[in-house]
Amino acid sequence: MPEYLQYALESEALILGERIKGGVFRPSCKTLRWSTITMALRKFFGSKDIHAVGIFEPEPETSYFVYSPAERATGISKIPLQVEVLNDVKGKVYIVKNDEVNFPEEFEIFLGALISKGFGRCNLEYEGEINNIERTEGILNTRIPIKYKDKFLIEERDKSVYGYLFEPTSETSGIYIKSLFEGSEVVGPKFLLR
Amino acid sequence: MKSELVPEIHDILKLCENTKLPGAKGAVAPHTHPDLVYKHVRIENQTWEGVCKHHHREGTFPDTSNLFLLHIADRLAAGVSRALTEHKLGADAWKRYGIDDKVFKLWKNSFVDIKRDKRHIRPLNLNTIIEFIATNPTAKEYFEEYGSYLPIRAESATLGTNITSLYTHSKLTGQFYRILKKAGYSVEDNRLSSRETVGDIYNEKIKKWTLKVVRCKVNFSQKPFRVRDLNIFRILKEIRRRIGEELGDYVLFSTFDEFLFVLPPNKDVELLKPFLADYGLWFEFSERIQEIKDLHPDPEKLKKEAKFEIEKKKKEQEESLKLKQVKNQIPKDRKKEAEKRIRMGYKKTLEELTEKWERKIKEEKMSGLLREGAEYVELFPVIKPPICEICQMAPAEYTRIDEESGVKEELCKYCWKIQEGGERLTKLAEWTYEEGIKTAWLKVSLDFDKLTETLKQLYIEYLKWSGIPDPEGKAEIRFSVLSEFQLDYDSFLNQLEEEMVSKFGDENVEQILDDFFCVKIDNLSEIVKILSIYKELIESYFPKFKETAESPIKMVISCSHVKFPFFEHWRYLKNPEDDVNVMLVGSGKMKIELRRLGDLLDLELANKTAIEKLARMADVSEELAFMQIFSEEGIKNHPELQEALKKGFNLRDLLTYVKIKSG
Repeated sequence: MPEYLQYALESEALILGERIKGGVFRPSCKTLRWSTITMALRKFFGSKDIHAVGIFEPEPETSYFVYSPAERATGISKIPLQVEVLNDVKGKVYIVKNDEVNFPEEFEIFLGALISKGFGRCNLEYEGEINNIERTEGILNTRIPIKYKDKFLIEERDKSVYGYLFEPTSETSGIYIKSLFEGSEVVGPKFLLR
Repeated sequence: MKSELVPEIHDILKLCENTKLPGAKGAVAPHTHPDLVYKHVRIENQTWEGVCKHHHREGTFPDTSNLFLLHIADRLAAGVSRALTEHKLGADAWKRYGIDDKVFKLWKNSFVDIKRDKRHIRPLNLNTIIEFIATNPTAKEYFEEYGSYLPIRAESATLGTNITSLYTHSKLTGQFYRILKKAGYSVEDNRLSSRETVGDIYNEKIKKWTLKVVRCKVNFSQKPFRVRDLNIFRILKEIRRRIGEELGDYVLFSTFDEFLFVLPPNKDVELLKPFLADYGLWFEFSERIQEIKDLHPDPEKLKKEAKFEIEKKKKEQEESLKLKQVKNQIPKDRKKEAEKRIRMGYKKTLEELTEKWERKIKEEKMSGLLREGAEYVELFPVIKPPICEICQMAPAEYTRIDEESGVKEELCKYCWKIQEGGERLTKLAEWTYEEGIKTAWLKVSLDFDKLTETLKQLYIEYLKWSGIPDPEGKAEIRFSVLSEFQLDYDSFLNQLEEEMVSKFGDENVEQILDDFFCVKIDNLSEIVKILSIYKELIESYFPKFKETAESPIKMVISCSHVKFPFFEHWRYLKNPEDDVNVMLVGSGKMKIELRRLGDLLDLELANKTAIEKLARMADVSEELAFMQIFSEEGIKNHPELQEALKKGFNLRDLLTYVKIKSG
């Protein structure tokens, strides 16, 4: 049975884009999905063997940030974009225990978008190890790829909410993989349920 | 007899005045003496047979398969449970409890509205009815001819049972009759030879024959932002219309995204898919195959019963422990140990109870009687980029370039189709090109679970008032009550639209769904107009919901500059936190119970200068505004706010209201 390392996450301001490009408004995802936290940790620790998810507690307050990206060639800004920002974020990160990586007591990583504008700085502080996991039936509170659900002891029940998460396949490309989204009925560890 | 049986007309004699019939002493109600009517009048058509033979009584009984199905459909469409039929209450129930021919609407009427034994709605004479039936009328002709009486005449006049109209009952009887036919149910005519055998066959078939009750909620993955994205709502409206048209008999209740179906057991919920396939919509469902005897509109009844029983037991245990402590049954010196032992015993009982229910639910699931799930039109195991930017559920196959901004959009086939035809909400589209326009989005929602729970409570109160014993055991909300409610709810929404147009002008109201509007407003104080319209309509249609702790009907208003992204409004609009909710984007929000809405609107807030100052202060700092209200100056300038606080209003809600009032 997998064991987890529990970290407390804190950030002043995060932008976790929902990848909506069509409009001039970009909302932020209200969960700490597998793809965001796992990729950030993999990059930070240089290991491909990391799997993690997170939850925000309480649901963060939001505000809006307007910026106008300039075209690289011309330097001209076309339209201003309004981006949703999660403020004073508090949450938990659960990392599947991995003997290859020595996770420190405390470290800092960057999550999400507009890091160059000062967003995304997160502090993670070790809180303890979780073993003897109590599983129960409930509603999932984060997003986990189907193919990695066993790593998080998640079992699907009757009503699943599906969506897609990005998984890089190389430095420059990736695919979208079928995933369980928040709101799905599952059996899983209590800490991943609403 | 070549004519078709029209099941909707079966209860027409309930509209008939008391009549002298051969074989009866004096004038009697023809509906309760169908045998005398049938002896007296013969019309060679199936509908007349249905009118006289849909109950198994002395003299007349269903003697063909179709009449037998009508008999069952009539019971399924009854407003009350079997526990409240005359068989259970006794044939003289009407004498003991009294009668009122007018429908008692649980959500509307008060007990003072009841006229015990003083109101008859039986406007037709027998000859008129005979002449009408002899023309072989259709159901449509029946509803047209007697449309002014059917919605007010109760299906059952006995007090405590007069909770649905003859209109709803007739319509539902027609639906259930056709559902039973489509399920292929029938009885050989020669078996229906006497009243007694019909009774036996009835008792056999209501346990043997089953129907499938399905609750569905249609969802969309699209995240609507701009006016053209709102086409998704137009599509949902169109889908509801098509489902109503093509699956009409199966639809027993519906809102813009929820449906309650009754299906023959061999039909599958998959029948929804063709309606949704073009747009990539998905749906959640719960379905339960049930015996006709106990057909209940909520397929999740078993799960809810389990939850209720477990919670009840927990409460009982807590109370029992408290009682033992109070009565000092637990000696002080051994208190901790004894309590631990008692709690362990309780825990074991709870675990056994939970296990019992889980086993029951599992058994139903294993045998295929209970099924829940989510159905998607198409799911890909993997999507290679680009993924659709609107729904993120399918590969992008089309590229759209926005003419104004030049922004490229990669769309899947579903979202492309949804956007086809451009911006249909023309008023809203025009407003987005103007500067400085404010809009208020208004969404009314109906919580189905809360509705059935509230109606049941109201029904228990009515049965108590009527003096019928064991109201808790007898009160059951059946399909016909829900259908009756739907009529009023739809009418309420129509009226809401009319009022909005009349108060704001047609050019300023964009109706997106029956329960969803966008209104162009000049200033925030116009929200008060919307709140007043809503309050008046609730008082007119559903006054009883003002007396309940939580209303099943909820309203959300979300207000901002017109260009503010719609999806942010939608997140708020689709999840009402309380009965009445107002969001002023970036400026505050308010959520109050329906029963307090009147008090809120009655707040005078006479000192306009002081209110405006307070609102400006609240914009800068709510804490500062709180301090101002409680300052010496505040107590002098805002006595009405002090009063409202005493009445239990939340300070933050009041400040938002102050901002609304000050415009």
